[in-house]
Amino acid sequence: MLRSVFLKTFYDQRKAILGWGLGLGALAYLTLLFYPSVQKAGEFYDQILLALPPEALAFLGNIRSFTTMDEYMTGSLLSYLPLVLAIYAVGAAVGLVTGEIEGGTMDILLAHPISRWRVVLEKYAALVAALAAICLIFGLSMLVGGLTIGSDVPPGRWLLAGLHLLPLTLLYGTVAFALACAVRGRATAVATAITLAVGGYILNGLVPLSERLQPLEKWTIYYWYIAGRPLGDGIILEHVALLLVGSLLLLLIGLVGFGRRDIVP
Amino acid sequence: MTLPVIETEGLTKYYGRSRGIIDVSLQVERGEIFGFLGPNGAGKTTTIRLLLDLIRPTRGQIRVLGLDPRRDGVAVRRRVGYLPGELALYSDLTGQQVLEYAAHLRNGVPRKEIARLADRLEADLSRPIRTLSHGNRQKIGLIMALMHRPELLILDEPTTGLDPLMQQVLYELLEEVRRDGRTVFFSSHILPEVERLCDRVGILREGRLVAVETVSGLKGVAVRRMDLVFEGPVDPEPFRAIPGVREVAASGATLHIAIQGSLDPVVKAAAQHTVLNIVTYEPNLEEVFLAFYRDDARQATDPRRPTTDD
Repeated sequence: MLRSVFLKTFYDQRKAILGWGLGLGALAYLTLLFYPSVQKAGEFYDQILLALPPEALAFLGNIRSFTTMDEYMTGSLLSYLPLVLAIYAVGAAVGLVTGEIEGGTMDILLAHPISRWRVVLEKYAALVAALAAICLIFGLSMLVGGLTIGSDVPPGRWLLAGLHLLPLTLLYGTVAFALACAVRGRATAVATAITLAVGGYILNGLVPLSERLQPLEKWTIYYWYIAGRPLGDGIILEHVALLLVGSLLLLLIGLVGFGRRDIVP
Repeated sequence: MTLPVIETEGLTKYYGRSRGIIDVSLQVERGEIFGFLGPNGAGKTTTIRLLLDLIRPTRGQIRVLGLDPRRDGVAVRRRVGYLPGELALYSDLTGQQVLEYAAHLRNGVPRKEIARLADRLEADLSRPIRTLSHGNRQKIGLIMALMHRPELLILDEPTTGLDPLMQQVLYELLEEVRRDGRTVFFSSHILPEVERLCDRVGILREGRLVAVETVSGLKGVAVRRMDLVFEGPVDPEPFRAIPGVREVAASGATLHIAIQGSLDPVVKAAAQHTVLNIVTYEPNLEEVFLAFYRDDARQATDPRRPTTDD
């Protein structure tokens, strides 16, 4: 556990990983248990959906019905889950860097023969691993839920749906991580990342209100997540790639920023 | 001639507009214990953090073990042990775990050395850091700084929190480091420990290095006090005229004299009379130190400032 910065950082996240993974997993499991009865009363729920204004539907991932597994899970959980998971991603990212600087232990760490860029990379790798672990636990919970209700969704699809959360939440987390590396204090990093996450989601919901907002849809970041449907038509690899490349570029900013800054508790 | 272990040239650091240090030029030689003195806020910690590349200079040069800490930071830190002034350790880990982590970051450290140091400092490695007192945490920090037997030890106020017994143990450990030909650079504001340990000291005042001297040399610039007891009352005026004499007070047959520099002219002047007794008081470093912080005294000692260039 203490063999490297990566292992220690990952190990430090163990309780958070289990808490978030199992917490969100339980939510997914319970949501799935309701699916058979919702499907049976399909028309009733679909009428509720029809009565909703279009922008409300956009917040639920533009679903039209609750009678397919994809639309049911997207509408009731997967549409807003990245925002919930972003709370963990942003908090953990800032804690890994700013927490260690403000707590004073970064002094000790950087007094050892390890380069700054390596500290950043190992900590970032631990953040990615922790987020991936949460997504995987979440996916496994859905898989168990699917088996419980006898769903015909293939097992791999559940896991894919879990991991599909990763690129977007990682991007939000990386915004916070990069700013925590480059700028002193927590405020800038947290505020920017949360604004981006919530702002993108809201903007995506407002798009149906006006034709003029339409061109913005593809640039809300959130769209690159919600347009992919791991439980339906499948994920969109280009979008996943865009999100991952975005994180990579931000990580570079973090690396350069951390290399140049003063470490002042 | 061997390269200095630490060499700074015009080293200056501003935090935004507030002053860290200004134009500090310093050389620390291999095998010496160098004391870095100054009150809080004088810039001791700033200098130390610059040496470790935790912060970057506004201008000026730094060489540690002949290397640039910015460019060759990993190579420098492999050979340096560091104890921060405000030590923070991972509070959920035990001392043993903290040291294990540190040892891994150094690609391994002999267990025997950790055990030896823990034994000497009577450190309890089995308890979580958060349950340890300040002094007991300090011991873990000291083991971490010493365990890889670094060529250069940089310690920021190492004795804070240690009880007097452990302070003595630390002094012995540092003297052992010097005996091995290794180098110690430490900051302090505790004068007796500086007096006991250091070969040379640098005095920092409001961000500037105002003196670098041997401990005995510092005492040489000190104002010393002496009492001359004569057979009968003596005219103090000729004594006031002697260069270096700062103060002459007469009480009965005794003259109380404060003098800076050599005592010789005073003794020669006293020899004109019948002297019953001469009492001199050994100046302590405290007086020297305070002298550097009085503006008028600073002027008086200014000519000695270029001693850094010796």
